[in-house]
Amino acid sequence: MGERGGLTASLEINGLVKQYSAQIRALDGIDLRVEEGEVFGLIGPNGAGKSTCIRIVATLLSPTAGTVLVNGIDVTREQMAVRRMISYLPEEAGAYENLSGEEYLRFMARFYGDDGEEVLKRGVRIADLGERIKSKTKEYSKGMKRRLLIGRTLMTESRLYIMDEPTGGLDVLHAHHIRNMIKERVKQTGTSALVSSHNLLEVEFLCDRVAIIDKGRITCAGTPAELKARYGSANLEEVFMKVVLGDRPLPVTAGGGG
Amino acid sequence: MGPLGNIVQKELLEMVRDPRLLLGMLVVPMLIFPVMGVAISSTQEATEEAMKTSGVALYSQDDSDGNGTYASLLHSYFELSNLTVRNITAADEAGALRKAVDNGALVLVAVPANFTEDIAGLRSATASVYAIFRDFSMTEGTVYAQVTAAIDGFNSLMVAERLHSAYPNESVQNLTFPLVARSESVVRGRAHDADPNAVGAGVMSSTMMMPTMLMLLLIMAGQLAATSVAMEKEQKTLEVLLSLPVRRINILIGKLSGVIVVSLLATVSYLVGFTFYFNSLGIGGGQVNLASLGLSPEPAGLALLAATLLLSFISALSLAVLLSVFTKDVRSAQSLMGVLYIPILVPALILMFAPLSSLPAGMQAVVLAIPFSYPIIASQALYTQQYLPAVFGMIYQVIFTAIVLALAARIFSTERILTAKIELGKKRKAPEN
Repeated sequence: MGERGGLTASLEINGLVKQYSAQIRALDGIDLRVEEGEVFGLIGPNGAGKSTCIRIVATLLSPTAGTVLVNGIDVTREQMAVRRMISYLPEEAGAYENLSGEEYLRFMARFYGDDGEEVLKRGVRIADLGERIKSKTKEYSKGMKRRLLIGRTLMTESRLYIMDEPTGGLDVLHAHHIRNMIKERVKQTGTSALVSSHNLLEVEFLCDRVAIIDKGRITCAGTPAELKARYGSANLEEVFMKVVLGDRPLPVTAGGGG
Repeated sequence: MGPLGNIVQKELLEMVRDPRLLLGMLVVPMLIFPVMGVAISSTQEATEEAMKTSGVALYSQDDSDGNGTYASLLHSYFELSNLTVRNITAADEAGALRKAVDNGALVLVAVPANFTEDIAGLRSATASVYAIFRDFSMTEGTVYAQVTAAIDGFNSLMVAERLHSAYPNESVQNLTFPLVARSESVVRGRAHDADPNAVGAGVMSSTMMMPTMLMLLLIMAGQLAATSVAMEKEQKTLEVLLSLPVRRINILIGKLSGVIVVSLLATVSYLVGFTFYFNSLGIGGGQVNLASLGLSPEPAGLALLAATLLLSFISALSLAVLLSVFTKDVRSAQSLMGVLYIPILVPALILMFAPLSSLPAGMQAVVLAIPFSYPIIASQALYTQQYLPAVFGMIYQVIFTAIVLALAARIFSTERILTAKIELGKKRKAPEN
């Protein structure tokens, strides 16, 4: 399980189904594999099932059917062991408002070591908030808060980083810095990352391989170059449009019908 | 520091640094009761001042006016009752009333023309007493009550004088009170020379203080516990917290411990405030020394009270956390907490006025089924020494708390903590994919 050619995959998902109710089937048989040292992008329209898939990998939701293995360990049966190997950043995340950025990172770091000082230093460096790291997080702008949360996610020595819209709310300069940090962290430590994003330029820059998810199913997967070649497209956005829309016309927004 | 200690420290920092919470639970209770005490003392002083300055207007038409008449005696009697009395001269009673109103008097007593003659002739004289309302304040009522009390005293004096005239060789005391009640209080089979009213009031004030405080504290602590999970949802911190390598039961116990510590600090704050309040009112100083009647609480009783109190806190807070798991935000959590007020308030109100043993069987069963009844039962047992119901209650509380904690821990370990989203007053949305 979880091995191909003697290598253990950082993440292996087989036949994953998530049914919230009789009417809502969020995932309808997902299969995917993230190799060690790989940044894997999960893209798709709103409501496609990306966040549900990510939450199952992060041990927050239980699958209705199928298996999810992180470094060969089942997320349903051995949740604590999986949690020790992952670091998760939700799309909509906040920080404790009455703690300073440094106190927030220290609180999180303590779960990953005896005193977590090394982990904390790394978090402070990645967040790159200067002296403001000592201010209460309720005084932070949206971008500062996101940088703190990225610092929190990447400071741990995890085997798999799971990030939902990692640069959402960041300006161009800070988004660029964070993308480099993610890439550097994965390459330096030989770990892996599962990233979901609507920013397809970011996905193309950051991800070694990409899967497009739509209506709870993986519709295609491959490296950005493979996908562009397969669909005869200049960039991932064109690939996305062709895969998701097919022969359907573009949805027309109000007032934009010309 | 272990994961549990880490969570407790974070919870405490979050709560203590929250200005709303710091003010609402710790600072205000310590200040509000002394402020109430000062306000009530000031009101009493204002009433006394008003009695001195405004006081009573006396309009006498007694034709044998002058020293030695009964109208003068009544005047002196009012003054002896700490009332300021001003004589009014007017053509008639209506004119006297107009003057009394203009002069700011609170009561006008109009003595009729044949006042001395009627009393001396062993008949009843009728004086008109006008209570003059302006702002319907406590002062107006107090002055009127003082006047009627002084009239009662005047009547007693007149009766004594008449009896003495009729029976010069008999004791007026014996004639006035053919039956004298010498009251004693029997406590635990032993008679004590203590006024039963004072004993009852003394024990009542002690046993009522506990339910009142308990109700306030449980409601405030419950709000705090309910918001501690809802706040994680509202601030969007819950998902990260749940994905950390820490056991969910530690998260639950860490949150509960933080709330319990803050609630205990609030209890101290309340006790300090209450002590100042009671001292400023002169309550609890003891009309009667309860300890001399063997009514001082025993260490075992106090330990039982402390245990039931702590267990009540834990069970109420666990219940609050359990309820808050199902809510989406702080406002919904606080609204849902209203459900918990009913079992907190009902036994406190019932037991405040009637002991458990005097209740009908059905009501007894309801009170005993509510785990928050037992601190009140234990506080009453301090004086009755009937500890058995409180001991059984403690065991029941432990079982109840364990079940609630297990349920809360179970929900904490499932995805329901993320997917259950009661949004009071709003339409529920389907989960976001």
